[in-house]
Amino acid sequence: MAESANGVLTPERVFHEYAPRVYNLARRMLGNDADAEDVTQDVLLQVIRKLDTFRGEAAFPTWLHRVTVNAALANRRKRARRDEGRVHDPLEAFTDDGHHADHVRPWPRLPETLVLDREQKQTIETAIASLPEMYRDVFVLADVEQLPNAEIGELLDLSVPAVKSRLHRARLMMRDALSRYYEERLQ
Amino acid sequence: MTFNCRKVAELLIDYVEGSLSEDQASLLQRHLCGCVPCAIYMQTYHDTIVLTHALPDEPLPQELAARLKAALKEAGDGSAPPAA
Repeated sequence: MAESANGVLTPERVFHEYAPRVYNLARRMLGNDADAEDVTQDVLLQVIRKLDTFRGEAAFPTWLHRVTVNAALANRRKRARRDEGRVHDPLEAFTDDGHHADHVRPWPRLPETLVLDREQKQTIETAIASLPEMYRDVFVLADVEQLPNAEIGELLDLSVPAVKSRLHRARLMMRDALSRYYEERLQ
Repeated sequence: MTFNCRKVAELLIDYVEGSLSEDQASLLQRHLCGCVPCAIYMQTYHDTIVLTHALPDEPLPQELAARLKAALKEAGDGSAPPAA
């Protein structure tokens, strides 16, 4: 039986400790609860079936990320839904001579110990869901799951510079999306 | 040599990672000292990362949890089904 750093991995432990992580990663990548539920079930069943043969031990979370990302991407291909239209590039929000085209307003200072309220969580989740897929995948893996860029590159078959480029644009898009909310809270 | 605001925005990812060269970091800091919009832009870029890191995982929806338990039980490997 496979083991994690904390001991034997049983189906029960996988369900309690890892199912919410799988579900949340799939939900944020797909931006759709129903699809995330299907992916979670597929992944959990795959994991349980292979539990006896898995010998990765501490590498279990890495393997679980890989299985989940692959299942989410396969689900998306099945849906064959693609981003439509031209993607807004935040780096175009500058004048020809390189100055900010719009007024840049401050946000409220974040507290030392940050606990998001329901409204803030919803605002951030909505902003993530509105990212174009190619940026959302990298953003979720980097800034929500906090995986290193090299690992994200392997998961998504991208070079590290491509991961960084997408991550940077995703953060700029997120900053723009969150600005509308946080600027109002300062007023 | 000086950086304009767009160049600063392009380099923010490397700046927060601490992967800029000394010269680039120095030029960027010099720009930030004299440009309020860029200082706010940099702070809010950083806040975006901090806020996202603070995003908690949502619990499994009850229906999904029940469906998963049933599916795992059906897949059966001789282990007891997950307890509630």
